[in-house]
Amino acid sequence: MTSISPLNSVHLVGDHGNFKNKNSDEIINIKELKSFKIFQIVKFKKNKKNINDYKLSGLDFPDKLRVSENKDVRILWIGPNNWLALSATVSLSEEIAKSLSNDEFAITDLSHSKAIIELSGKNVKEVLKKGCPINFNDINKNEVVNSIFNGIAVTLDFINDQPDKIRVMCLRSFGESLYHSVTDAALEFGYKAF
Amino acid sequence: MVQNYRLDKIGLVNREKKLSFKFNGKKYFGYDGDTLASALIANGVHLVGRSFKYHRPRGFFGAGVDEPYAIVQLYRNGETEPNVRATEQELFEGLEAKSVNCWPSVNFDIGAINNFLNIFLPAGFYYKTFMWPRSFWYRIYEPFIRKAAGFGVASKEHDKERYEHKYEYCDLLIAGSGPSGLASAYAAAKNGARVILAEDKPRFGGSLLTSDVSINNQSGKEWADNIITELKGMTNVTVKNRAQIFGYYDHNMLVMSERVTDHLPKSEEFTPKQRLWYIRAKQVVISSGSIERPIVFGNNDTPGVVLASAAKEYMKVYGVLVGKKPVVFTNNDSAYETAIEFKKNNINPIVLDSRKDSNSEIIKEAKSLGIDIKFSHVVVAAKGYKKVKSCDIAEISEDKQNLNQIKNIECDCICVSGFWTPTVHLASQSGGKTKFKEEIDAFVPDKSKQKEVTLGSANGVFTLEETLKTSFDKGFELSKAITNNNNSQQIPKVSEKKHSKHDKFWCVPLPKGKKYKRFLDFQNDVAVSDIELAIREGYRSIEHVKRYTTLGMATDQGKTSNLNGLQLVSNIENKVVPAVGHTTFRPPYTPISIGAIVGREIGKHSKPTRKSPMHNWHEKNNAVFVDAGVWLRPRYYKRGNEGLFEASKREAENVRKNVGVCDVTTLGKIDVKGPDAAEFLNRVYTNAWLKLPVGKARYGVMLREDGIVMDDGTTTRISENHYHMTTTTAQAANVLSHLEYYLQIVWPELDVNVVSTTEQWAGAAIAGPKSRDLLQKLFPDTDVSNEGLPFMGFVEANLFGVNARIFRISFSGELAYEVNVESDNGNFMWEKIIELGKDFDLQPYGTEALSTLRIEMGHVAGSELDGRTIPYDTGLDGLVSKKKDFIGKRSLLKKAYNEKDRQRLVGVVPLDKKTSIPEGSHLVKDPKGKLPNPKLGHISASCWSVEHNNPFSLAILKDGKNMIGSKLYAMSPLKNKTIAVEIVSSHYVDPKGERVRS
Repeated sequence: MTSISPLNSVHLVGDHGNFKNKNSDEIINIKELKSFKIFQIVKFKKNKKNINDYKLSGLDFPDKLRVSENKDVRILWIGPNNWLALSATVSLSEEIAKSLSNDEFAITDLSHSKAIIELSGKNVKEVLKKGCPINFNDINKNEVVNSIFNGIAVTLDFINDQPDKIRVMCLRSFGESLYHSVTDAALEFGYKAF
Repeated sequence: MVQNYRLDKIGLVNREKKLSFKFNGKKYFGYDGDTLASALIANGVHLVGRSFKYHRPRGFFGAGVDEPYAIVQLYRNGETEPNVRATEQELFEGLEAKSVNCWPSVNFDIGAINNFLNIFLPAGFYYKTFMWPRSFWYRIYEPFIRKAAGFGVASKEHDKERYEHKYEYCDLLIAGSGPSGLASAYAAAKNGARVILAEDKPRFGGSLLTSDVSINNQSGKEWADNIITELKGMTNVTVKNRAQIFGYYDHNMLVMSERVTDHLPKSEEFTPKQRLWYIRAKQVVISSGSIERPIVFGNNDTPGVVLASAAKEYMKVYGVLVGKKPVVFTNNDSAYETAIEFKKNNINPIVLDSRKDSNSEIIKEAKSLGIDIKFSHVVVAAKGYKKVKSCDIAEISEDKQNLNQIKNIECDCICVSGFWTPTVHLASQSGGKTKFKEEIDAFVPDKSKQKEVTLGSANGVFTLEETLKTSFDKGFELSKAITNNNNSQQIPKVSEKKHSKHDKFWCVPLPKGKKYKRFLDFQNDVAVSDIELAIREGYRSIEHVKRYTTLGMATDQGKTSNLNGLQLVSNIENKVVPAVGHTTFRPPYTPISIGAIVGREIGKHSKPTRKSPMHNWHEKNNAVFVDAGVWLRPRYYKRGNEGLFEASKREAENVRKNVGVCDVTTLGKIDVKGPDAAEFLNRVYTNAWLKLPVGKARYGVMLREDGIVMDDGTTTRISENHYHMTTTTAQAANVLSHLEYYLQIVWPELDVNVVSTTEQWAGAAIAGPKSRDLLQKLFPDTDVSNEGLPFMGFVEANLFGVNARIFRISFSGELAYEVNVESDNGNFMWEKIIELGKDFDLQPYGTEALSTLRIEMGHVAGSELDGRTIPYDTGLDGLVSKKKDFIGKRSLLKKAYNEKDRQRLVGVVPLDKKTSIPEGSHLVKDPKGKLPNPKLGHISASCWSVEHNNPFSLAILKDGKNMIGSKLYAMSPLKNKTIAVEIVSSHYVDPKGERVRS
C-alpha cells in the first residue's frame, strides 16, 4: 500500500461515548472521506469572460457561500472567483481539462492537502457549535462556510439537512487535532465511527 | 430526625423523595427540590459560616443569588468546590458541605477574636499596617493574609468533570423568567422569533412563584407553568433553567453559564457538569428582576436577620420557616405579604413599619388577619450572637433622626425590607448608562447603547399589570422588526393588590451611647463606620470609597449593599445619590467556575498540533520531537542511551560521511501561478527572477518594507507561469499573507494566484556524499547525474509508481536533494528511502543535526534572520539587485543600514576548542570591563562542528569581516560563563561551496 490517509491512525471504527440506548439518528455518525480529488480553481483577473459561461461536469460555478452539486462532483464557493471542486468518483483533472484552460484559471491540485470528516445525525450542529462560532441556524443544504473549530481553520460543506450531514475539511497536518476535537465534542451525544 | 422548621404541605418540594446530606459532618435530610439553604433552615441550622474580616457568626440572608454570606465548601463525587452559595445549591442525595472561614469549627471559631479587636481593624487597616519591619512582609504578613483570605479552598486535585462551550445565535435572548421575561418571550415566540429564555433558578416564574396575584383567573405560578409548557413545545424557542446570563459584551454577545448536572450527585460519563454559552442575539430583553434591599440597623448581620422576600420564598417554595417568632421590619408594603404568609401558617408576626401610617389594600388585609402592626417603629438592634434571640425596637420620630424609648421584644428572626433595587448589572455591562429614579430611590437603565431593553422590576416597574403589558408589547414589537410577522397576543387580565408609597428610610440611627456595628456589605464586613472613616480620610469618588472599604466588591458585587452605601455617602457629603454615582458593574454577576470558562479539558490538544505524513514512522523509530510552531518535528532519533548531543552528532557526522534523510514536509510551499507570476516574484525577492528557466530553482531573499529580511527560500519554475516557492517553516503563513496583501492591495493589476501547497507535498531531504547513489536507486529511470540534474535543477520523476518531484537544493551544504511526493504517499516514500538507503549507511536525521550542518556551513536561518537584520548583516548582500525594484529597496538606503562598521555574520571558535558557547552570549573585548560592558555582537547559533570536532558558533558582530582573527570573549550572564574566543569566517566547512555542486 503506497497511500495512507490523513486520519488513518486516529479514526477508530466503532461506537464511542454516550451511544448506549440511543437510536441511530440520535448519535453522530463519523467517517473519514479518503481519496477525494480536490482542485482549487481561481479565475484569473484578466479573464474577462463571465463565470456563467463556464461549466464543470455540467455544473455551474456557484455564487457566494453556495455549492453546486451532482452525484459525482461538488463545487464549493470559497472566495471571490475562487472555488474548490471535489469528487471521489470521477477524474477531476480530466473534467477540468475538458472545460477550463490554464490560461484562464489557476488550477491547483490540493487532493492531498485536506483531511475531511463527514458527520451526520440530528445532533451534528450541536457538536459543531461547541467549537465553531458561526450561526448554524441560518445555514442550509448546499451552503459552504469557512470558519474555525477550536482554533483550527475549517471549511464546512453542508451536504444535507434532513438529517444534518456536514463535511468538515481542514489542512491535512491539522487533521488529527481536528479529529480529536470533533470526536471529543461528540462523546456527549455518542458517535459511531465507520 | 424532625424538621422543626418545615411546614406541612405547602411549598413546591417533592415530599415523596427524601434526600440525606451532611453539613459540617452532621447528617440531615431534606426533600427533592430543596436548596441546601432551605434544607438546613428546615433542620433548624441557622449558623452556616463566619464573616470575612471579623469572623462574626453568619446565617442566611437571602434565598438566591442575592445571598451575601451563606457560602460553603461543597463536596460532590470526590470533588470539592469553594464559594458555593447555599441558597443556589440544589440538594441532592449524599451532598456534603462545610462552613468556610472558621477554625476549628463554625460554632467555636478562633478567628472570632477579630470581632473583639475590631477597633484595630477598620476600613483600609491593611494599607496602614504590615509596613514594618520590612522583612516581615514576605515571611509572615503575606503568607498569613493569604491563609486568612477567601471563602473556601480551591481543589488542588485534577478536576474530573467535563465542561463544555457552545456558540449560539438567536433573535431574542431573554434573561430571566419572571413575569416580564415570560411575557416578552411568549409574545416574541408566537410572532415567529427565535427565542432563548434563560432562568438562573431551577424553577421558572420568578416572583410569580410567591406573589399573591391572579392572571387570567389563574395563580401566578399556574400561569407561568402554562406559558413555559407552551414555550417548551415550540421549535423556535430554547428554554433553559439553571442558566445564568452573567456577562454582557460588545456586539450583543452575552455569556450564559448553564449548570447542567450541578444538582445531581454526579455527572454521567461524557455529560458536562456545566456548559458555557456564547450567545449573539439580535435583541436582548433583560428581565432580571429586582433585589430587596435591607434597612440598616444595629447588629443587622446576626443569623436570623433575613430579607422579607426570602422569608416568604422559603415558606411558599420550600415550605420552610425562617423563624417562629418573626419580626417584620419594613418601610414598604411588600413585606406585608411575608407577614400574611406567616399568619396563614399560624405564626404570629409583629410588623414594624417605619412609615407613620398606611392604609393600602394589603395593610387592611394584614389588619383584618389580626397581625400586630406598629407604625413609626424600627428595629434598633438585633440581640443574640449566633442567632437572633430578641431585638431592641423603638418608635422613631417623623424626621427619622430620633428614637424614643427603646424596648426589647423577643423574636427569633427579623425579616427586613427596605424596598427594591432593580438588578441593572446586565444593562450596565452592556455599556448603557443608568439614571436615578426618585420614586424608587434606585438606579434604572437609561438609554441603551446596544440592542437591549430592560423590562419589569429590573426597570423599576413594580406592578404586574404594567409589567405584563409592556413586556407583551415589547416582545411583539421586537420580534416584528426581525420576522416581519404581525401575530400579536392578547394581554392577560391581572388581579393584584395595589401598594402604597414606600418610605425613603434606609438606616436606623444609633441610640446615644451605643456602638452597634451596622453593616452595609455583609460579604465584605463593611459597616457604616467604615464608609464614614473613608470619607473622613478624604476619599470622595465612590470608586475610591469602594476600593478603600471593599464595599460592593468580590463575588457579591454589592447586590444588597450598593444602594445603602450610596445613600450613606450622599448623606455625609450632602449630595443627592445620583451625584454620588455608582461603581462599575462587572461580569460575572455571580461566581463562575474556572472549569466553565476553560471548557473541555483537551490536554495536549489545547493548541492544534500539525503532523507530517511520516509522523507515525518517526514515532515508531524513537524520534524525540520538538515544537516548531505548532508542527511536531523530529529533533533527533534516539539510539540506546544517547542524549541530544550524542544523537545529533552521530546523525550530522553520518550526513557528512554517508547520507542522511530529514523530514522537510514542514517547510512552507506556495504555488505561484499566473501570467504575471515572474514579474510578481521579481518584485517580492531582492534578486532577479524574470529569466529563471523552466526546470530550475533559485535561492531568494524577501524583505519587509523596512528593509529587514523577512524570509528566504528557493523557488522553482515548474512551467512558464507556474512557480513552486518554499519558505521557512516558521514564516510560511506570514509569507503567504504578505504575498496576498501585495496582490490584493498594492499590485491588484498583477494577475497571479498564490495558494499554500505545504500540505499537498511530503518532503524528504536526502543529503550527503552518497545521496546521488541513493537517488539513482530510488529513481532508476531518471538521470540524476550532475549533468542530468545539476545544482538547482528540478525534474519530475517516478518513485516506484508514485509521482515525485526532485529538487537539487541543499541546506546542509552537502550534495543534497529534496524529494516531494503527494502527502498520502509520504510514508511510502520515506520507507523506500530508508529501505534502499541501508546500502549506503543512511540514517534519518532531525532538526538538531540539520542545525549543526547548516551552522558549520555558515547558512543563515531564523536565529540570524531574526527580524533585526538586513541582507548586508547576514552575508546576503550579493543577492540584492542594484538594477530592479523590490519590496524594501528604498529602506536599504537608510544611513544606519550603510554604516561601515555595521554588524556582519562571522564564525566563532572557542580558544580551548572544547567549551560550547551558549547561544545569546554577548561578545565583548574585555570580560572585566566596567558595566555596562560594551557589546560588540551576539552569538546567534551554536553547534558542535562534526567536521572539525570542536564547538563552532555563528555570530552577528560589529564590523564583523574586519574582526576575523580577533580574540574576544563570549559572556553569558545567564549561564555564568565567560569564554575566550577567536573570530573566524562563517563558512567553517567547504568555504568554496564545492560539495553542493559535486
